[in-house]
Amino acid sequence: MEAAAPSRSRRRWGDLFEERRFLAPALIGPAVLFVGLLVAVPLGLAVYLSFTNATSGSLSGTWVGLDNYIHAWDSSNFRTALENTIIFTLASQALVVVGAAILAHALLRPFRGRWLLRFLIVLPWAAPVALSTIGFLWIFDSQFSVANWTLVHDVMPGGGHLYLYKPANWVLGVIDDLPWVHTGKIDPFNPPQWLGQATLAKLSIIAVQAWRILPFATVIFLAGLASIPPEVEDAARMDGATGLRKFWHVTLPLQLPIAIVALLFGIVFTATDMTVVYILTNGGPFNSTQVLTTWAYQTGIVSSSLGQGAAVSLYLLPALVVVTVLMLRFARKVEIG
Amino acid sequence: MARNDNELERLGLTGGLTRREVVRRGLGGFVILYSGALAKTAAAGVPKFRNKELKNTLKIIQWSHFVPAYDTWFDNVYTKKWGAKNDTDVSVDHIALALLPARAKAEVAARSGHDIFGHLSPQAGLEDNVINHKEIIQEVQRHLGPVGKVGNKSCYNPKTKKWHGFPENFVPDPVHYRRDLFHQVGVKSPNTWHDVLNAAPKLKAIGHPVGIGMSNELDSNMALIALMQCYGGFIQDAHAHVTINSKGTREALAFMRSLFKKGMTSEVFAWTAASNNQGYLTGRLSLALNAISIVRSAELQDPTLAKNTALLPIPKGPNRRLGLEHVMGVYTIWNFTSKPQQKLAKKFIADLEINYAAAFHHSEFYNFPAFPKAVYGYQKQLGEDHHPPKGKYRILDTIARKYTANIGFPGYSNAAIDEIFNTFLIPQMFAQVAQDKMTPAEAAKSAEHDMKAIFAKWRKLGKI
Repeated sequence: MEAAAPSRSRRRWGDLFEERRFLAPALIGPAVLFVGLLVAVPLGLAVYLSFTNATSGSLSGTWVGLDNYIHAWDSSNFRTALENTIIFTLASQALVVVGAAILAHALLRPFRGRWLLRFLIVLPWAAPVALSTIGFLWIFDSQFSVANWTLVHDVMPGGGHLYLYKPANWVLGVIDDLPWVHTGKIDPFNPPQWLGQATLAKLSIIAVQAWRILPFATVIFLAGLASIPPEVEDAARMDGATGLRKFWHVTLPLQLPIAIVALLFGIVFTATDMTVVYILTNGGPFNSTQVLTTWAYQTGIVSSSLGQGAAVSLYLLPALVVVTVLMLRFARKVEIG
Repeated sequence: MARNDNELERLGLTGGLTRREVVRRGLGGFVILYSGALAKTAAAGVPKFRNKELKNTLKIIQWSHFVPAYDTWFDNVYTKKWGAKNDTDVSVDHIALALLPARAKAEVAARSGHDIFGHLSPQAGLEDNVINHKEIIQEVQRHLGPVGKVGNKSCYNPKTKKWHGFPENFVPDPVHYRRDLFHQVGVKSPNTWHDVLNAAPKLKAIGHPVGIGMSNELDSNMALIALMQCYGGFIQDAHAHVTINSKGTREALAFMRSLFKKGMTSEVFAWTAASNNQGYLTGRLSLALNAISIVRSAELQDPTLAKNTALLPIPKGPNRRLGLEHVMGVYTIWNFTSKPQQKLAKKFIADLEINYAAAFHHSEFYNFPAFPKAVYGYQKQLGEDHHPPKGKYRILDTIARKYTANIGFPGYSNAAIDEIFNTFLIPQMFAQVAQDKMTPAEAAKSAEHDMKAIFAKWRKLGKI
């Protein structure tokens, strides 16, 4: 009789977890706690700090209202950083969408070595961003750039001569003749400084960001293409739709929702990334490649103005919230579809 | 049962480790590792204290020295000897110099870290997070006499009367130039900035440009502030008022634009702190402003290049000849470090400075003590260095005594100067003019606007 009591109690607890209203919160609780502690609390703290004059080393300060936001907007470096964040994000994602669409179509059909090629394309995504960016730092180095070495040295083995900067200069000469563009030419003694001249540094950052996101987008695009039922393709073919016509009227509309999910992810990844710019240019030359994340770091950590740094970093929040909502809506659409 | 096993096998879920096997192997591994530890303890004897051999521990973080021999001596000889004498296990972490400011801020944010933090520039911005180092200064002064002017102006805040750091060493910043190349273009030596401008186009024409950085890095900062000083341009005056928008600054900017166009290449806009070393050591550059790490590396890697390299003080400008310390070795102790650890750290720093002769020797004359009397007869040592041309290091004494100022000269290295230095406003100002993005007048005015805002912020916080 005495032994029956604990057994009944255990059963009561067991029954409790059979009920959906207890089991569901119990299962989701740890995840909510995790997100709350690691995302919501720091975000709340950042919002609080952005309204104070806190300096580094303390997590409190005097209330200054919107001063930090106004001060940030008044700074020309902030506006450059905002502009760069938008340009780098949109330009790199345009490259990613075009590149991923081409790669996904190429990799869909079976051919010898497809597995290896897919592996090589996905590899950049698996490598830590900091490491791969250090690789690019070497490619764009001021003195030992691999890109410049290839441009200005004789790349023809044996007795022949081939200097790649010569055909490149011919192309640049044609572009230079256009009325609205001035490119200059490659001087082998003073080759392009990929990270030391504002325009080239911006192009280098866009290229690295596109390279970084491309594998992810390609995989998503591939999944999208693979999910199109073969019956739809067959029906389109029977109706006489081939090539570009089939792509425009059948493949693209079916692929679009998942492609947009990849695009929105890419926007979030690029707009919130600090590593690429920090490692490649550290915002230079003369702050011309600052983005909001690096400028927030420079203001909040390097310059010790924690409150101002928090304000800079939060400028992007509304735009990212919109992108995230869109992302979730499209993701839901894909699920339902 | 057999059917279930077959099903599992078909799904590839058998053939791996069972739970029992994982536990068994884990226990086995633990026993093997523990036995190894027992053997080590048996060989070394029972620790005197719980989990450690020595009574105390002291954790230090500092840069990876440009003269690797210094780190070898510091980590393996000096700290070991000092540790044995003071019953302390001293551990030293090294990081790249560019990472030091961010690491310091991270330790402050976490309110924990190393007992001693070795910086490479004055850190007045961290004043609220460090102890007053006055006690160590007084202890060292009792043995060695007064601290030098560079150390004093780098680590003391006259407004708050606080020593926000301990000036351990400073590094003279000579000009390295190729004697053979300057001879070839008919210029005796870069004695004045006019000489440099005169030689630069000819040097570039023979494939050896001048190399002075205009990038977001330490060496560019130092070289360009020093150039400004030679032209009479200063960030602030002796009373911490911004004076950057001056005739001297504008002239220095115009000069640098001209020097870049005539005798340099665009690589200087993308340099890191090691780039001028690399450019000079590969034989490309004809002139660079740097500490003696360039010539020391050349002595090891390319003796002919070292033989053709001469050292001089910074070239003279229209206003004067006045350079900067190349780096300023500053030790700080956080105020959140426990009192016993603070006491230990203070003793370590004081002992190192009082016995600085070995540090000077093992840094191969790179580190000059911040207390002028710390190394007896150092001039003799400089003259006796056996690397050709003999006696070339003697000039370091003149540079250290006569031509080396602190960052922020003629004022103190205050928190605003610290921020201006760490955010690279000076190299940015020069790069904008050299790339024709701004005129000298516009760049000086823009820098003045930014600097005034920084000074106002720190003045409001009561640090200036």
